[in-house]
Amino acid sequence: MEITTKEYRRVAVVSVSGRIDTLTSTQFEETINELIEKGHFNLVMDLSEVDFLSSSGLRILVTSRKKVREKGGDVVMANPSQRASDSVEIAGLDKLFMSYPNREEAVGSF
Amino acid sequence: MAVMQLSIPAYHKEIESLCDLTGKAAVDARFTERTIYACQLAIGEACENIINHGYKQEGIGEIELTAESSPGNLILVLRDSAPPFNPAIEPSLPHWQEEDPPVGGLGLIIIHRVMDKVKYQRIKDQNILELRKTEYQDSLPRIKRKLHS
Repeated sequence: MEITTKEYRRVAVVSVSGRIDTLTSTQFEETINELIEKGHFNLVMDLSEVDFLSSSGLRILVTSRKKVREKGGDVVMANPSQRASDSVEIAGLDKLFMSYPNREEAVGSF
Repeated sequence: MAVMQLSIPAYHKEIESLCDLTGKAAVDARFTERTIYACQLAIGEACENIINHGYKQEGIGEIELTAESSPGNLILVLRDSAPPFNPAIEPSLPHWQEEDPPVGGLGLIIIHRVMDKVKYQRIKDQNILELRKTEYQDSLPRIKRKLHS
């Protein structure tokens, strides 16, 4: 898994490629927590290059969403891959995350 | 019917190889791309559960996967020697609020939503988990009709 972040004034974008599973979810969680600790409560998850998203990764998304919403923010998705979308949908979490066709629209939603 | 088998030491880093084997068997079953991924996801969740809730730690024991495939059908059988752990009990899904979504039990939810049948047996100190998936494709009868016309 590779993970990069880009911080804007009002939004932070987390871009992930590869597998988000029990092996990599700790790194995913730590990256998000660092952004939240810096005061970024509006988060865009660019999951366009994710080819496997297990329940470990889904748990991080759900807990992160809860944390930022308590601070008035939200977690949205930008152009999630078919596989990432399928994982979210199979787990029944698709109603929780707004999804935008590209990163610009996702950033602009805040 | 094609049969493939692979055993791994019960480490998280080894689970991907069982997902790969599942993918190959699902291709043999002529499943769609999305169903192939769903089956890989389910087997990954089942293996995570075996390590985390069965063995309760990595590096103890093994996990063996046997995959049987025929057009439209896939049977995945996982065997392990962990203490009894039954993931075949379908998780109850109480209505949850958007502000308080579930964070536990997602793996079991995924397994039961993806697979058509989840059967658990405990035989001779082994957990045996059988996962079955059937996918009927319009293309299969058409291909057969072409071959027989």
